[in-house]
Amino acid sequence: MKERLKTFLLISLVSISVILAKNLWLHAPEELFKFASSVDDEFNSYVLSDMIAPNKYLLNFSDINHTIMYDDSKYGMWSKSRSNLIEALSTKDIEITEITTDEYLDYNNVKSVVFYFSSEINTYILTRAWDIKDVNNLVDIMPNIESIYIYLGSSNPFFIFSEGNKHISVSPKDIDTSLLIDEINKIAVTEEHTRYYSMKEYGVKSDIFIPVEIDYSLPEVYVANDVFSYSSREKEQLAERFFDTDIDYIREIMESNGSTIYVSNQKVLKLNNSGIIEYFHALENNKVTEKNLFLSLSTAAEFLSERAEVQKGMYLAEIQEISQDENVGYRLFFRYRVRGIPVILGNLEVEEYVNIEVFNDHVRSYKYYARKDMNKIPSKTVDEDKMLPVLDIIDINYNFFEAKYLSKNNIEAAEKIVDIIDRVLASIEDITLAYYDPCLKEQDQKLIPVWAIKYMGRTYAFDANNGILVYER
Amino acid sequence: MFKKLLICFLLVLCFISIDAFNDVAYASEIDISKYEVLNPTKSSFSITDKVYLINGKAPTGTNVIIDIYGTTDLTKKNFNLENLPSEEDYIEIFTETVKSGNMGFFHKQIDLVKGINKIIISFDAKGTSSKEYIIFVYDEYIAQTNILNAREVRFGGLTNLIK
Repeated sequence: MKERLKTFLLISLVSISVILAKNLWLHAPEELFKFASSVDDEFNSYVLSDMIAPNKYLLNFSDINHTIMYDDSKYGMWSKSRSNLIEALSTKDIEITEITTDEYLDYNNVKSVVFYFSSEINTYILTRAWDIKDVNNLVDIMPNIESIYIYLGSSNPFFIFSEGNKHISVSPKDIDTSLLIDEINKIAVTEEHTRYYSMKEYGVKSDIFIPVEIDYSLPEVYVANDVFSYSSREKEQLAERFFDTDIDYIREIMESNGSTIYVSNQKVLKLNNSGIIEYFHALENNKVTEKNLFLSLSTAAEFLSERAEVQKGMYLAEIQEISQDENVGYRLFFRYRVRGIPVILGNLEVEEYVNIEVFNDHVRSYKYYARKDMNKIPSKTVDEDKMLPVLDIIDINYNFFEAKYLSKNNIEAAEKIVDIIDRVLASIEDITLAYYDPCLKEQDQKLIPVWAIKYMGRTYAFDANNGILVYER
Repeated sequence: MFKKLLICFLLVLCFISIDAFNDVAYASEIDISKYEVLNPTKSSFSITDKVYLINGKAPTGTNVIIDIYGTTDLTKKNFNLENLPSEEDYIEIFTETVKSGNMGFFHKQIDLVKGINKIIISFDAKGTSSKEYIIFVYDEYIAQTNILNAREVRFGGLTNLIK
């Protein structure tokens, strides 16, 4: 018995010493110590609140000092604002007032941050995503939000929730925004940011901010088709994950063009040789006659986490209502970012990076264009080529914009309109810096830095280095 | 001989008249309202930020010359908007010519120096006059202590929510 005890103690001590030695000296492969972790840990979890992330945010340091940022990972302004926004949406002790667009635009002249979403966000969904149990009446007053403004000056904090020309200011009592104030002050001191100026400086009544001088270029980024490099075993593992069953129960069909189809229980997964992953699960007999956005979004988040792959920086870009054989649901479009910058896809087969059709708790279809950053070392330094500021791009292509304006408004001659330039500029709805993926190569596809200009309902992307139109939708 | 002199005199008179006529005609063609500085909006003001946007409008292709002068204030004269330097105290720190684009806009983001800055914006077009601006750049620390006196309020109605 004593010998057994000694052996047990010896084994325990050896095990402890191995673990401690690993911590002290060795950086053994992580996988070695991951044997107990579940398969799900291999994939990022994607929850509803991850979907609702701003497309970009404006930092107002003063009346003449502004900048726009796309990547929140460096300063975390969005994540740091969450507790304040939860308070603003839940506290009952608030003062709610509607303000005019002119007043709203003026508030960009004081220290503040404005978060812009790529499309309007349902306020109720936002409160559910943040697990706010007891919401205030702002949800009814402002059912949808396109942007959120937070005042970060030395006076009492307030928030402005906006949708189009409707702006609702909320002044909660005893709210502490010091975390955000500290962060914006830190950013201001570094002076690393590119200056952005309001289009108001050019006589246009707009909340669009643009740079007039840029002394850098976006880093060279190359992307590759993920599916293209999958081995047959990796493809099978993907099918197993999608169908949540062993490969022995999945039928595999190889197409002559190199695509692979997997079928199991009325569910179909197709790995196209073009790099597109398609999943289809027909709607069952029970009709979905009442659509539920929250349930649909939660189903999509669960599906993405458990079945599909989630890339860091993926965000919900658009929600469309759909109907299929008397069933009603939603089509959700997701975009992704590379190194914090949104990516525009130039692939005619896919509208966006991820496209999911959800009917409450049922995912009918899923389409994913598997592109990933190759993390290649750039062939030249970042500052070698400077990008053109967006106003120069608009100036170079002014005739293009004017022609579109005249055509849309059925005007024959521009000479008859005195303020034609003001009208053209006022028709710009949004300006975003982005990468454009021409989707011409399976691997080593260089992304083109572009200025994406939303103009009279359409998006035009111009090469940021030379001003040439490369994309239109 | 008299005839020759008269012809010469008349020819000279013709040349002078044509030249003068051209000048008058050119001046009358220029529409001064098309040459406009949008920013700065005031002829003299103070700010705490050294980076400043100069922009305006001019017919496409017009050269716009931007000259910036600063002061070293080594003599500790403590220049400010009420105590401006004399012409001799100014040192040219930057000059650049920008061209107005297809939309008729010109712009330049400039770096100012602390203290008094004099900016002269001139259009390369006959009949236009140059415009002069004085910008006083001072420390934010001073700005905070003297905020009530020094703050430049470029917007109205902002105090509604700021309490």
